[in-house]
Amino acid sequence: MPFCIGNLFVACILVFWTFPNLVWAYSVPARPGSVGQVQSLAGAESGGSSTLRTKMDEALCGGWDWDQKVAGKIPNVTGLPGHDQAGPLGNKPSGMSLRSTYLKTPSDVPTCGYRSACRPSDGGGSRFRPPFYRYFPCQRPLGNVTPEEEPVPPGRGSIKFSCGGGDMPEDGFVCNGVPGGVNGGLCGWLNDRWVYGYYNKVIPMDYKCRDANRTKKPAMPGCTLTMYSRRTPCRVQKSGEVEQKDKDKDVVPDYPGMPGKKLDFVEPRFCCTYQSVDEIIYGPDGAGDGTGDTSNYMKNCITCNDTECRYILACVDTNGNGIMDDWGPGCQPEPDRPRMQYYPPWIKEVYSDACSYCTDIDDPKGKAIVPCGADNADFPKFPCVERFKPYEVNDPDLGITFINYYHRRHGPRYRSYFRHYTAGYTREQVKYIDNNQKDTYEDPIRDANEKVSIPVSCYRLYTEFDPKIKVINNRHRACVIAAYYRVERGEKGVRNFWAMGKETSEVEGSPTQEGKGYYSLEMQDIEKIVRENEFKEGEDVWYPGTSNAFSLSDQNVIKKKFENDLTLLLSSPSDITHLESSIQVYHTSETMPGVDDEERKIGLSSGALLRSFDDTASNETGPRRFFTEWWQEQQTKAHLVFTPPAIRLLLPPAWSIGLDPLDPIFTPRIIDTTSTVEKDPRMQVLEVQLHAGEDTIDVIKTYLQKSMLPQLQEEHIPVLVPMGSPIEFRTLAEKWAKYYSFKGKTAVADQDIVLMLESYARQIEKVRKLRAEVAWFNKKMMEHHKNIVTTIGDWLSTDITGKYDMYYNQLMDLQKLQTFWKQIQKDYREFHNKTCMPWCHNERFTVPIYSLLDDWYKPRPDLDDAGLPEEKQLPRFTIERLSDATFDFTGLKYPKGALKIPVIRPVQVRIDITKLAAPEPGAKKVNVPVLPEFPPVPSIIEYMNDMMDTDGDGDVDEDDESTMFPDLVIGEKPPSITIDMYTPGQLNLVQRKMLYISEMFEKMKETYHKFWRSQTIFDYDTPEDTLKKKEQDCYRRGSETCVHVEMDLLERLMRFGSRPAIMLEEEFDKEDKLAIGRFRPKPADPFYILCPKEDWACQILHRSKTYPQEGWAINWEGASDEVEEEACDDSEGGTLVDQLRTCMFRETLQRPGVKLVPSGHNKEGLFPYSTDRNDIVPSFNTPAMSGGLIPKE
Amino acid sequence: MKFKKIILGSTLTLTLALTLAPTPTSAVDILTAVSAKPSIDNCRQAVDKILAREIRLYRAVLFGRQRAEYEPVGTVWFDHFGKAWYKVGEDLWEYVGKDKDAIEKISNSDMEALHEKDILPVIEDGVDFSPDPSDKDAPLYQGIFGTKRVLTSELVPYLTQAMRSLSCRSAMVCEGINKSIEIKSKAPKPITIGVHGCLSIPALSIPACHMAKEADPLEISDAYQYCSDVSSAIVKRESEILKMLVEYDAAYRSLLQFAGLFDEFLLEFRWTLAGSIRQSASVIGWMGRIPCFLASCDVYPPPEEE
Repeated sequence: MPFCIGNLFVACILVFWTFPNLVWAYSVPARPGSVGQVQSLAGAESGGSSTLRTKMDEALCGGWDWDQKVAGKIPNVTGLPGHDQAGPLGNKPSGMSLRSTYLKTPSDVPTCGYRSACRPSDGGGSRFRPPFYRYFPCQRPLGNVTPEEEPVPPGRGSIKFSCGGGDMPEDGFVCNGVPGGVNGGLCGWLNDRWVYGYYNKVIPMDYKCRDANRTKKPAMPGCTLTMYSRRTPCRVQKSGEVEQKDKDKDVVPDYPGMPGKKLDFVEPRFCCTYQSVDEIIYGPDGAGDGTGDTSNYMKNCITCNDTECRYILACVDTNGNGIMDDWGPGCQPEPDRPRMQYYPPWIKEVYSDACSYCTDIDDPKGKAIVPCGADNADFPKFPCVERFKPYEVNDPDLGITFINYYHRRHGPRYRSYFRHYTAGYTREQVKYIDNNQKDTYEDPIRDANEKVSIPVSCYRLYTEFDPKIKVINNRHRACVIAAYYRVERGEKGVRNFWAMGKETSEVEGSPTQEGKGYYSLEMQDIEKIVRENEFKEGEDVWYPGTSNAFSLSDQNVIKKKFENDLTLLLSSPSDITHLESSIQVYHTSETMPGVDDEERKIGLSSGALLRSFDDTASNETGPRRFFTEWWQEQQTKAHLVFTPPAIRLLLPPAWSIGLDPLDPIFTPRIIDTTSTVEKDPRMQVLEVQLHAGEDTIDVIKTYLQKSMLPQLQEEHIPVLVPMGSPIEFRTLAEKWAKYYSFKGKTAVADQDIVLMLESYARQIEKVRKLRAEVAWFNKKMMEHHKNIVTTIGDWLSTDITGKYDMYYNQLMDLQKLQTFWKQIQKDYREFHNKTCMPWCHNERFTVPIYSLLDDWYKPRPDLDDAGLPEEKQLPRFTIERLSDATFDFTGLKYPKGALKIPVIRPVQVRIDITKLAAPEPGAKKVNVPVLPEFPPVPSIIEYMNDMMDTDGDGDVDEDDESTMFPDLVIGEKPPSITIDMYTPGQLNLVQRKMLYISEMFEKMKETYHKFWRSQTIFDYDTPEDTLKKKEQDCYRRGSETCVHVEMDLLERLMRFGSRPAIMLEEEFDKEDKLAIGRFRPKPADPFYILCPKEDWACQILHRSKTYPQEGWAINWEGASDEVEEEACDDSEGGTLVDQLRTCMFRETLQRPGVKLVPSGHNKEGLFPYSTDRNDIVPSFNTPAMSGGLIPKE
Repeated sequence: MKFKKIILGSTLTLTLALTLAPTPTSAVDILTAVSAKPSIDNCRQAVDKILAREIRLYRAVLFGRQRAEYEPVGTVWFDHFGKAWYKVGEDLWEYVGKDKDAIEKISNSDMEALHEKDILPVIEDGVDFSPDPSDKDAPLYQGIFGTKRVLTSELVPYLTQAMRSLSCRSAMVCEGINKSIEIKSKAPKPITIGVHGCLSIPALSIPACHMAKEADPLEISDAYQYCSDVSSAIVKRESEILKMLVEYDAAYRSLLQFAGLFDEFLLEFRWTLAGSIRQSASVIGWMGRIPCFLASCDVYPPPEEE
């Protein structure tokens, strides 16, 4: 199976092999616990034992050996029909051999078998179609198995006949027994049971040569002719029973014109050949063995040898030009086609003297009859001769004249229904390399390079065709390559393949095909760390020579080559160690013609240069390997399908928007990778960098919203408020009231202090209201926030979220689909590495086996599906390249500065109660304090409302700009972000195509599995009895051992005998050491635009679509708190906050006591705080806010 | 380093009365306070105001003093007489005065001229708060912490010296009180204050504490004791604050250094690399707590309880 080798990598053939017979298996711990353990596993080089290395050495097979040639190592198959190779290296790029145009047939190889003039019955009855003769007629070539005689040992299935008779020889080689087998099995039945009765009548003739019994003319004395021949129907009957059965069935033919009389039974004859069962051949002379008898004795079934076993159309000269029509490989001249026996009257009867008479010469009427010896006797007259004259045939070749009473009748030509070949192959041995001894070939070389005397049997009517052109079905798979005999025949090797890949005690040196080539000797991995490299200043970007840590770069080169573009720079590999982790092959001008620029030449990996090949190669199509190419193309496309467009977010660096560790964008949810090991990161996140999950859009949203919201900055506005208790004031008021009551004065002025204290008590409670100020501001702020958040949210919901859901769902779908695709890929790999690799071998340069394609590869008979109707084409993904989307937020403009919120900071100072103390009732010389009004509990809200309502009508002025909250202006809507997606229809199509591919692979696998399985179904452990039962048997066409097609048996055995899995010289090109499948296209561009399906499956990147930076802006320019109005009468201008501070300072500290001019009783008139005002002032100090962490310019 | 000598003069002023014990009368500025009638209360108030000024001077040495022009509205400065001035406008400072009519208004330049000065003359290495005539943007005084391009550790000797000066000067205030207590006259008398470990300086006594006439040993004792308690409390508090400041400053400067480097770095590499680094950082964060970037990590994590 050609697929099996060379798919992309040499490593492919280094197949690890298992030894089922070993009692223990070497296991490697999946999770080594220590470095030491790893070292010990890794081998001696790493400081441990080399157990692992040794085991791997033992286990792998194959390699390469450029010292050996392919020539001579392709099996030379003998004894089988099919197309031989016509130069294994004639079509090297295809990986397969040239195929001979000449079809070897039984004419060209020793063949024996059975043939019959009968034809298999298709249900309808006719003399040529015995009902027991089926299209799949027989099994077990020898033996007398018939419906009456059970096979010994018993076989299986419903095939009732062995093909011939006799005993199966021990070695399976049946041709010696075939000649004697015409009486047994199917052949015996054809010859003994498919006969009819032949009847005729010998009658006296009159002078007119008419039936004397039926005329009144006198008979010629002694002249009788055999006339009125008739036959009874063909029946399955023994020949000896024919006469009696005819009588029993009352089918004995009547004597025409003679009622009550019957013809006479002559003999039983073969239905298909008309010939006597009694082995009498009637010649034209009517005798069994006499003059002119040129016919062979022809039974229904006879044996055949070589060409006789062949059946092709007879040559026909349809246009009569004397040249036979050309038919395929040539036609067969008219062979000994069975013809009907010569029928009476026999020539000797007609010419018999008794059948002559002489007339009297003197009789005027000439009618008088006289003895011919008389003197007056005229010349004798032969009335019968005259009468049968029209039937006389002259055969100049034979030099005779004979009578052929009837027209010639022919039965069908003989056609073989069973053929037996004796196959073998031989090729030169591939020498094995003993890697331990380096460069020495192991002795003895175990390569099983020769097998002879393999019995091959085919159980069906012979049909000749070219498998490349004709698509066949299971009915054609009726051959058994019976390499199942343990008995050695001849001197050469064993006949079976059981020791090729398996160790067995019965064959020395098994497994025989496990030899190794070179695989690690001269092509060691290059050391990872290359420090002694040749750094060329001015040419190389990165200088890798410093240490193991950093690669330093060359500024000049960066500028010159990369124009200081860091993106390009970073995508440039830092040092060659990254590039040389696998085997490289240098490039030369010859290997890459047409590429002049030295820098653009790319080092070629030898490992990747072995081209894949398959059975779809052909002479005519040259290097094309249609299936492989198709597969590589689908791999590329599938990769495209499973690389969903990525969404990249370009965000400004964190520092530029302030280090906000709480921003969700910078504190990504860490995805627990332990539970999602199987998932491809590309499939589950938008962008790996972000650790983005399904809530990514939310994160973006939050990020945007957070970014667009203004930063808040609290600005303290100190306000002086008295600290006191209402109860205290009321107590004092009560005392004063008592004092006045006792005094008896009721003047209102005197009561001022009482009322004032009462008002103090009430006013002090208002201080609490200050708390509501912050809430008011917060509310204002929230309203703005809400607008911002909603706007962003709406935009995202409309333009992204909805589509992202779809996108995300599609990712999920793709993931399922990918699982399916992985399974297909796995099938493909298993097909190569397991199904087609029962033992190590290299199928390269063998002849394609086209019949293996029939069940699954639709582009037939041409191998290329281009130009075929779509339903006959291979399933191809039709998928377009999508675009990655990049959202560039780097240009996001943030609001400058912060939005300042005034926050009341009350400075509470106790009231000097002693100044308010009431005298005892009746006290004299009381100095009644005149209290100023309670200092106002100022409201910033009121201030601001006043500012906004200059005319005092209660409404905010139009176009008032004094608010510190600017109006939120929502500009033009940002551009819609579209996520490129596949349509559901496209994905469905992909899925359907995958299904087709899967089905296709299933059939492919089955076909090739059967092919290889036919040689591994038995082994040395198979019980002898079981083995015997199945030797060369074919119970069901297309299953078990009976899976081979006759017309490419040669190619099939060639495949079985293909050489060991060691790559030889011609698989690489000797001159430039490149494999035959070197890089096809010129790698003209470092970024491959093309991905030629001939040699590559690629990972094609998406296009990228970047959404412009525009549209992302937050403009809080209007948020300046510079106001034109004055917050209060004594405002000194400036920002609102500054004004508020000044106003509050004056309002609550300076003014109380100033406004209220006392009525002379109070000298100071100040509000009775317990502290001096100068000492209160420092509490109003509001230092400048810190500049934050970012240093200022 | 200038702040190393102290002189107690007759021009002492003070604020910071609110946090201390209530005073029966409303003393206005430091001048009034020290010249008040000798009594235990007045003496205490004088102590408070003098010590408060010491703290202001000390902190000005640490943090510097901005130009009046650049101070925001709402800033309070003290003038040389201990009056508290409130900045009410861009170029307007206001003094509330003793009573309703005593409101005074001055400009930024006047405020700077009137600004509280070190009692130690500049010529004797007192703190010089006078504006630089050649650079109108230069601060009146560049504080120790405002020193740029140095590591915190390089500032430590200066900070230590400042703290020592505060200790000396606060001790001298109390020694001055101690000496004043023994004086009987109404007017301030020249005295010499000597404290162990500090330079002796000539000064004037504080009349508010001239309590020799009272001769109430309890009150005399109280006056001295009060000053001693308050000054030692101040020194102790300031030293703790200074420790904290140093830690903060060290962290801040480290961060500045780090941030500065990263600033350049990120400018160059932008998102590609920054993203990875950020990612790494988050991973590191997940791997375990970052132990300590602050200057004093010895107290973290807390020692295990035994």
